[in-house]
Amino acid sequence: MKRLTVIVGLVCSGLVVLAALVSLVWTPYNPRRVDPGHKYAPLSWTHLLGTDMQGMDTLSRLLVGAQTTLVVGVLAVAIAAIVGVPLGIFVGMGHRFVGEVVARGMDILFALPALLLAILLAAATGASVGTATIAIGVSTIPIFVRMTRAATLTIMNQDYILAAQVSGTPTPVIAVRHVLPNIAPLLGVQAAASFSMAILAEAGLSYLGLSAPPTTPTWGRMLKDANIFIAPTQAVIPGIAIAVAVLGFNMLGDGLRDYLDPRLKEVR
Amino acid sequence: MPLLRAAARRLAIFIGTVVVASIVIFLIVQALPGDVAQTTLGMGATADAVAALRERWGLDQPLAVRYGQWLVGMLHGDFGSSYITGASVVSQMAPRLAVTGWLVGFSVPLSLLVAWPLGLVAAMFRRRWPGAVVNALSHIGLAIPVFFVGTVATIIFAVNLGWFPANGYVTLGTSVSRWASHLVLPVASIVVVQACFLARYVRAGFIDVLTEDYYRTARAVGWTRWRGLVRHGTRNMATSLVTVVGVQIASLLVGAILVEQVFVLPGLGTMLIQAVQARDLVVVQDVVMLLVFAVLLLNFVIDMVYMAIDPRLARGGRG
Amino acid sequence: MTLLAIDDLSVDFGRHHRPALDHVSLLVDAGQRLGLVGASGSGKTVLASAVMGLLPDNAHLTGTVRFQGRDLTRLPDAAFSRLRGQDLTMVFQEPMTALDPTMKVGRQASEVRRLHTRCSAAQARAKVDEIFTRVGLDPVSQIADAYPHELSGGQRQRVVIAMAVMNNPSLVICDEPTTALDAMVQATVLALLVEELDRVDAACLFISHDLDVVSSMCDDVAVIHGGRIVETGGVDEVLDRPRHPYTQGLVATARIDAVGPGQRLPVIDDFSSTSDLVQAASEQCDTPAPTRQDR
Repeated sequence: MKRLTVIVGLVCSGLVVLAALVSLVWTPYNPRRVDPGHKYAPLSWTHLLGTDMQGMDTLSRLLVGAQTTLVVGVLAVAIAAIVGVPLGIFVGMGHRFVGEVVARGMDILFALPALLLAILLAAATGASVGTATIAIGVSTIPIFVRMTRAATLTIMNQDYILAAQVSGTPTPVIAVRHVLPNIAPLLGVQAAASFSMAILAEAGLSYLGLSAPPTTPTWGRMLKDANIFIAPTQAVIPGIAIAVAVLGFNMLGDGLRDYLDPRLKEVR
Repeated sequence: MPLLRAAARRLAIFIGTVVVASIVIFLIVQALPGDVAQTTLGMGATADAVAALRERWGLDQPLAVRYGQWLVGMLHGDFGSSYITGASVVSQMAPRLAVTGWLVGFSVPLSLLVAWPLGLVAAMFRRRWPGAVVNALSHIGLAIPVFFVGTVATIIFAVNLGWFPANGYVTLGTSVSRWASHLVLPVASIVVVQACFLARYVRAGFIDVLTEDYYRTARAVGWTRWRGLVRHGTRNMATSLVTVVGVQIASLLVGAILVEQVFVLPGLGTMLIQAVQARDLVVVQDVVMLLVFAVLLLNFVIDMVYMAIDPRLARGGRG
Repeated sequence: MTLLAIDDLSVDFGRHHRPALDHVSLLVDAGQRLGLVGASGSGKTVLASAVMGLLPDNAHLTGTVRFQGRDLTRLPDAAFSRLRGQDLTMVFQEPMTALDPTMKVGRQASEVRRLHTRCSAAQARAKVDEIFTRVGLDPVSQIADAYPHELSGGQRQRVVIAMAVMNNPSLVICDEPTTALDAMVQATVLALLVEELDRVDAACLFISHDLDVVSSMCDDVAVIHGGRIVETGGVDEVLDRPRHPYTQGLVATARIDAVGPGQRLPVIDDFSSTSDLVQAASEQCDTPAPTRQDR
C-alpha cells in the first residue's frame, strides 16, 4: 500500500516534470500559433488532444503549461521555506514574546488565503506570475513556521543540544549545525506537500485570470477558456492535468513521510 | 475568574489582529507602486487630468489620513464609494452577500453531513478495503480543484442531461424553484471538495474514539461496533472537529469565489474579481476586509466556544 | 453448573503474531468467584477482552470460549452485543476514562437498561435511580445529572458498577476494579462490589495483582504467567501451599511482614524460571498496542 503510494506519486509528478522539460526543447506545434481553420478540432493523430477555440494545439499548450505550474510551485515553496524555516527555528529556540508576535502574524496570514492575497496584489499592481507566486508563497509561510517550530521544540529537548549549550556553543551555530540537519527530512516532506497545494492554488489563480497574462498557456486558464458546450474535452484535459500534478506531489510527500518517519514504520 | 480574564485577553487579541489585518490590506492596496488614476485614464492622459482625478478620489492626501478615514468610515457602516461607478460599496455588497451566503450556508452543513458517514466507514474499516477506498477518494478529492469539479458537473448535469441550468442566478423572491435549481450544482461542487477535506478529520476523530476507554465501555454494555461508535463517538469526534471548522471556512471562502466564477453567480467573489479587473481599489479593499474580518471573527468565536467546552474535556476526558 | 468454559484459548497480535495467551483453559461455575492473579503483562487483560469479545481487530484468536453453552468466539457482533451488558458485563480498571465525557452519567446508565429491556425512558430512569441509590450514589438526581468529570474517581467507579449489575448479569468480569482508586476508597468500593455480586447472584472473574484482595473476596484462584495458567485451585490451598515456583514467588513477595530486618526483599525472579523472553513478549501485548494515528 505504501509502496503503491510512492510509485503513483513518482509516476504522476514525473510525468509533469517530464512534460515541462520536453516542452523546453520540443512541442508538436507552436503553442501560441492561432489556426482559425482548425478550431475545436477533435482528438486525432494530427492534434493528439485536439485544438481550442482559436485552433491552438492543446497538447502543445498543455506541455508548456507544465512549466508555469512547476516554476510557480517551486518559487512559492522557496519563499515559504526561506521565510518560514528560520522564523520557526527562531521561535522554537527563542523566548515567549517573540513567539507570541509571530503567532499573531500567522493568525493574520491564516485569514488571508493565497487567493485573497493574490487579489490584493493584482488590484494594486496588476496580475502577473510574480504576484501569484508571492501570494501563494506568503500564504504558505505559516505552515512552515508551525512545522519547523514544533520540530525544533522537540529537538531542543535532546541531550546533545543541552551539551552544546553547556559547552558555550553560540545559539546560531546550534541552529545551523544541530537543529537544521535534524529537521531537514521533515522539511522535505512538508515541501512536497506544500508544493502540491501551491500547484492547486496556482491553477485557481490562473483560472481567475490572476496569474500569467492571457498569452501564456496555463492549465487554469485553458480550463476557463474552454467552451463546454462545443468542446467539453478541452475543459476536461487541463483539469485532469491539474489533478494529476496535485495528486502526484501530494502522494510523493505522503510516501516520503512514511518512509522517513521511523515512528510510523515501527507500528505494524 | 481566570476564564473571564482569558476571554478578555482573547478579545483584545482579536481586535488587535483585525486592526493589523486592516493595515496590511490597506498598505498592500494603497502603498504598492502603481498609480490607479493613471491606469484608469490611460497612458495618454495629461498630468493635469491625472492630478485632478487623484484629488477627487482623495489620493493626494497622506496614507495615514486615508487609512484613518477608511477605518472610521467602516466603523460607521460607510465603506466608501467605488472609484469607477461612484456607487456606494455597501449598497453593491448587500445583494451579493446574499448569494455567497446561500452558497456557504448550504455547503457547510451538507459537507459535514457527507463527511460524517465517509469518515465513520473509513475509521471502522481502516485496515480493510472500504477504509482504503474512502482514503483514496479523499486523496483524489483534495487534488481536484473545485472549479474543475464544477465544470465537469456542468458538462454532465447541465449540458448533457439538462437537469439543471449551466449558470446564472435567480433570486429567491423571483422564483423559489428556479432559485433552488440554480444553486444545486454550485453547492454540490463545493460539497464534494469540502466533504473530502472534512472526511479525513472525521476519520481521525473516530479512530481516536475507537481507542478510548469509554468506547470499550459502550461495547461492554451492549452497543454493537457501529451503533456504539455513532452514539458515543460522534459527539466526542465533533469536539475535535471544532478547531477544523475555522480552517474549513477559510478554504470555503476560496472555493466560493471560484465556484461563483464557474457558474456566473453574482456573489461577493464575482464582485471582487470584477473589481480587480477594473482596478476598483476601494471595492477590492472593502470586500477583502469584510472576508478577512469574517474569518477572524469566526476563529474568535470558535476559540470562545472551545474555551467553554475545554475545562470539561480537559478534566473529564483525558484523565 | 459451568457458566464459562475457556478451552485451549490462544491469542496473538499483529502481523508478526506476538503471543499473548498460550493455550489457556479455565472454568467458571455459576455464582463462583474466581480470582485471576498475575503480574502486569501476564495476559490478564487480554483474557478478559477475549471473553468479552473486545480484542483489538489485529488480534488472532484460536480455541473456544463457551458461555452458557454458546461459543462466543463464533458469535456475530449483533448477537454478542445482546449478551454484553445483559448476561455478561465488565467493570474496568480506569474509572476516569471509562465513561463518555460528553454524556451525563444518568443517561449513560439508563442506556444500559434500554439497550436490553423494552421500557420507556421514565422506567429506565427509575431503574437507574434505584440502582444508583443502592450503590450509594447520593444525592441520586444530582449525580445522574452530572458529567463524568464532575464526579470523583470512587463515584465514577460506583457508576460503572451500577451499569455492570443493572440487568442482573450472570457473569461480571472485574479488571483490577480498585487499582486506580485511593486506598480508603478501595475498601468501600470493594465491599460494595461484593455486596452487589451477592445481590444479583452473579459469578465473577476477578482480575487483580493484589493477593490480599483476591483472598478476601474469591473462592478460587488461577495464576497466570507469561500467557499461561500455571496453577489453579481453592484460594487458601493455592496461597498457603503454592506449588508452581512463580506462585511461590508471588506469595513470598506479597508477604513483606515475613521478611526479617536486614534481609533482602524477595523478588519474583528468585522463584520464577520462565524465560524473560516470554515475559517481555507478553508485556507488549497486555495492553492493546496504541493504534497508529493515521491521517
